[in-house]
Amino acid sequence: MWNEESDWIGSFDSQLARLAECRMCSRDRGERPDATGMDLEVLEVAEEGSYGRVFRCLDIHTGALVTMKQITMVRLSQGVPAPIIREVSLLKELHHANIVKLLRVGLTENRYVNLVFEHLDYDLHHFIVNRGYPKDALTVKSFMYQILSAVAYCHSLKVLHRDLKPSNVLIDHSKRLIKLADFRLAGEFADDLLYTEKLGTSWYRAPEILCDSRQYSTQIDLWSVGCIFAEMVIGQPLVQAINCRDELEGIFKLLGTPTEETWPGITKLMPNLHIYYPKFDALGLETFVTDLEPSGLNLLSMMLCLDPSRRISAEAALKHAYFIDVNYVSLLLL
Amino acid sequence: MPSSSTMPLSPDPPFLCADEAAIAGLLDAEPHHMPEKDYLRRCRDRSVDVTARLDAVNWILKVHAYYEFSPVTAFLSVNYFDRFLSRCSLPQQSGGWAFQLLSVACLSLAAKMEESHVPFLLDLQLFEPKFVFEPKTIQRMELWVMSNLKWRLRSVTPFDYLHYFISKLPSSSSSQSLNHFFSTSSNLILSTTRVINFLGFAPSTVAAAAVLCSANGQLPLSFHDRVNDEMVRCCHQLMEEYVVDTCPASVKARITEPAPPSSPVGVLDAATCGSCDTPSDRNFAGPPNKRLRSSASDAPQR
Repeated sequence: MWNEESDWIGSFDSQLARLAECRMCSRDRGERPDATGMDLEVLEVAEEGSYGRVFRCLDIHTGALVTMKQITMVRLSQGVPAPIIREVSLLKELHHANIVKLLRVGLTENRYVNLVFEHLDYDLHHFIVNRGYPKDALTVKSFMYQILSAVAYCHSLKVLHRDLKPSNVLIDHSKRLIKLADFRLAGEFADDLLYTEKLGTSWYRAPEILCDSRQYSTQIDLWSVGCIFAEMVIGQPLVQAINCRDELEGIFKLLGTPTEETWPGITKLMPNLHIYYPKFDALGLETFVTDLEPSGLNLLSMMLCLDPSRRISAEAALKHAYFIDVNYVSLLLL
Repeated sequence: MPSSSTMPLSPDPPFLCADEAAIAGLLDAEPHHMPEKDYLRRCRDRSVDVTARLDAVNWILKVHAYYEFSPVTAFLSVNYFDRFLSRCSLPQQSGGWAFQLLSVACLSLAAKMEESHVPFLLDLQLFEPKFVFEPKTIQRMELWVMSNLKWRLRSVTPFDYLHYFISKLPSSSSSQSLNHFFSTSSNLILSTTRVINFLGFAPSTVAAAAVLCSANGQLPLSFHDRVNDEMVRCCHQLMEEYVVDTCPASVKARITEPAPPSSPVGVLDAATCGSCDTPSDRNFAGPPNKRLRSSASDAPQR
């Protein structure tokens, strides 16, 4: 194994240190911020996950609150993890009012990648669970319009988010502003990145993904947005299951078990469909989502359409009658 | 183990057909994903080691073919390589290890951007390289490359334009002809990575020229109002000189015949690397008056 420590390769670390855009100090360790050498002061650990930690920090130069995601690079055999590369390079190209801003990328000791984002108050999951879900219809409408604007923008750039759920929708409370976050699983339409990592919950996953389809596109994001829409209205996830099979069963109970007529190609995709799942008649969305105006229910049904080819696009959804008064809503809330 | 042929990109599903707005966005973005403006001049005056560059590109293309990566992966690897070298210099007296380390890091990054299955870093280092690098060393190089490229790895490539440009051709209606144009153009685009002169052209220009080559002279009215037809003609001329003229006979036949290729061997064995005065897209002073020949000193030794 060749690993010569020449002057040049030895200068890697100093080169990286010079290129690294953020350094930190911590109150906990009693270190005083040095304006010349430190950019961020860690206030608290906001979250710990398998990939690393999330800190709430203070930008020493501007006094602004920022969020820093510190990702640990452990699997050296793979080098820098692909999800980090994808997320950062993607965020470098996405510029939209409803997508979280990546402010800086930094490196620490060659073991961590630090992603510094603008700070938002909380996520939609927290908003629904802890603060009482957005009970007024205008807030729901405004939030939905903003989510769809961000998704339509991503899709126009051939980018799928692939992991839309309330915890990945951030909220600036004072401005009633919504921003999409966590693009770790995002990628282009054309790539064959399957949902190999079945991470997290399946509650927001489109039925074609739950059926292990390799042919999926923008429609998977619209299903997730539909699930978020319903959850904002009813205050809890529309279908909650402990695994993919139960999730599909819950969806079929709600919308009816698909047939070749309602979802062309389903028997090829799931040859054993009628062995594993009874033939449910649709209970209907209106049974569960009761506090939604008719145009909203219509839009929701177009998002939560089992057949991906008939599911509404983000661009078309923005033009739906449900949003006819959205400019008024925006003026009122933003 | 996969064969060593070049895998063409399969045409994307219908929903991927780019519209005018998407193409305009790509044209706006492409200057940000190209090497620095003086890089081609530095390659020509040998302040960049073009022999080491060619060795690195050849190695990237061989590993790419071995693992049957998509053509985009190979193109991105070379794009990162050139963008890095246009901003940073590597030690000249290193016995070639610095260039080799850079090429491993660039291929690894591109594979992570594009491929669903990425080999381990040790498994990427194929074809008896002079040096084998530890994963930790490659990781540090990856970080250095990404930092230098400002983490902008979603480069615009000629492949982003192919469907749109092919749709402009008079005879691109059947799926068979689409497949033919796409695979032939893809192979031509890949083969340009070996030739420093193509660094002077924007990805859109390279794509348009490749489509012209594969279409055997069928000219669309215009590819796009923001794509300079003179630049395309000049790039097309270079392509015919350096890429098509040096292809194996079977490949040349494949390029001129309308039937789709039976196997996508491509033009990876083309002898290339010339020193002709390719106009840069950024300061184009008109096409050259004569067909350009590579000088003996620049032609790689067979």
